[in-house]
Amino acid sequence: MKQATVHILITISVWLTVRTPVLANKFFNHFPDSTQTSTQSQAIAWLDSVQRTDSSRFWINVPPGIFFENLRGFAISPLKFYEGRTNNFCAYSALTFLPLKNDPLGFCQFMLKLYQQGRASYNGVNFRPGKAILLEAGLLKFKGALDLNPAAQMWFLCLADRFKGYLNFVNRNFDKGDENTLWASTNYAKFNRMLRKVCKQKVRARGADIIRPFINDMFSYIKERLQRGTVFLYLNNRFLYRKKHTFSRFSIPTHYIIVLDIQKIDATKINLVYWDYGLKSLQQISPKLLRKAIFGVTHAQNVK
Amino acid sequence: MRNYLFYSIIACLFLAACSSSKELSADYYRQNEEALVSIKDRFKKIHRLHPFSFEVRDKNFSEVGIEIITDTLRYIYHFNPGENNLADTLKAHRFNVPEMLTLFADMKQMRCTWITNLDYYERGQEKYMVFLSLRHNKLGSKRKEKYFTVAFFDQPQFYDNKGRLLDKEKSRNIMKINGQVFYKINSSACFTLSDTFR
Repeated sequence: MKQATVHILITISVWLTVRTPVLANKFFNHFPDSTQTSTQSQAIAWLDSVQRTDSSRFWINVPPGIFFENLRGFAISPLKFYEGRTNNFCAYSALTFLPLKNDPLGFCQFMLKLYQQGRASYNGVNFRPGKAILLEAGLLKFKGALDLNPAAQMWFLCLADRFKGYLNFVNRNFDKGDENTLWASTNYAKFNRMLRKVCKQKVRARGADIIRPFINDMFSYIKERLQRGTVFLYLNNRFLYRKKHTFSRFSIPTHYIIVLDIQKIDATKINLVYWDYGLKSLQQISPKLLRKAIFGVTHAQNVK
Repeated sequence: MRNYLFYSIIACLFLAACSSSKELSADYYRQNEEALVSIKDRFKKIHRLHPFSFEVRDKNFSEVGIEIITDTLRYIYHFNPGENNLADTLKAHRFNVPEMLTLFADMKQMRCTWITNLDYYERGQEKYMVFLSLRHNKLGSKRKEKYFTVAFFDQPQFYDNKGRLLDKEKSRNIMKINGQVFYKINSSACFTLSDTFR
């Protein structure tokens, strides 16, 4: 009798162990993150152990000392990753949130290989930057903290050089100053394609470049997706950061952000916590403004 | 003859429009230097303890916004006309409320639309400037807004012979702030006319 009870208990505990994620999903609406492949501490330990290299013969304007400092910054404080001012790197910066969060070690190893060999592949995506890109990284100026982050400049320029969308057709090759032009801009399809390829995650996207997505309750939609992964918003920046006092009726999306949290305060107020420009921000907006601002909602699920 | 007269009038009007903006912006600072420097000094003093930026979000100067930067989060609040929770918010973030409200009132009187502390990098060193924008009725047109923006530096800056701000001494590189070329007012202050206020 005793043996039978022990067997039953063992069977129940084994079943519970196997079923825990499923039950957790079912009852607590919690989805485990299976995309985490390395941790910050692993990345820091690896950076401590790695042999410092001499100047790269490919990235001649990226000094090794600052480069390693930048990599350490990526590992220690990923939320301080900064896209810079007055350029079109916001999509690349938003996308980098996932490698920095899920695989800081792999990302740092990729960056070092790119620095040493001038070419490297990340998650099967090959980066072979041209001469103009190799020369420009480290020289971008007047972009705020990005001036001191040549490693981020390398990564942004490589992404912009590697992935092309219809907005880039008019200017496909990099010339000085093109980080501020259509060469670096990212349409919504290109963003989702980059996300799928670079981060190797299941990506679901609703929206388009000109037409807003048909989502009845935007708040609930984002809130629900947020529990199962990372949510990126493609929106018109002037709704978040007003820059002038005139309005045009024609509204287009210009900016990518990552939603970290969203809460409804009352019927007229929503607290949106998001990440962009190297900062975590909390902005109180109305449901109407949220609906008006958003042109795309991309959801990267916590499964590969 | 008639055509010639017409084109001459158009040309004169165009030249007058161009010069008035420049003259106004240069004169505006000189006429209001005391008030603008006072706003800048008070902003810097408060900012040292509580980093923040202030914006005016509409043409009537009634809808305002404030960005409060803490160690963990940047809070962005907007206050619609008629709402009295600006003081409550400032109190919650431990600002000196009367001092802040006086500063905002003075800014509104000067038609300031945006004030912030902006970082820039000189020889690898992080430095800050106070970035202040004004919206003046005479500077704008119905089709295109114009903002008079002043950058206040802590140290004297370097300019070329056209009065354009340079990134360092004996340099040929023109320093751009928010993508704009700035022109000399005095050794540590410069201005530009911009389509955007931030």
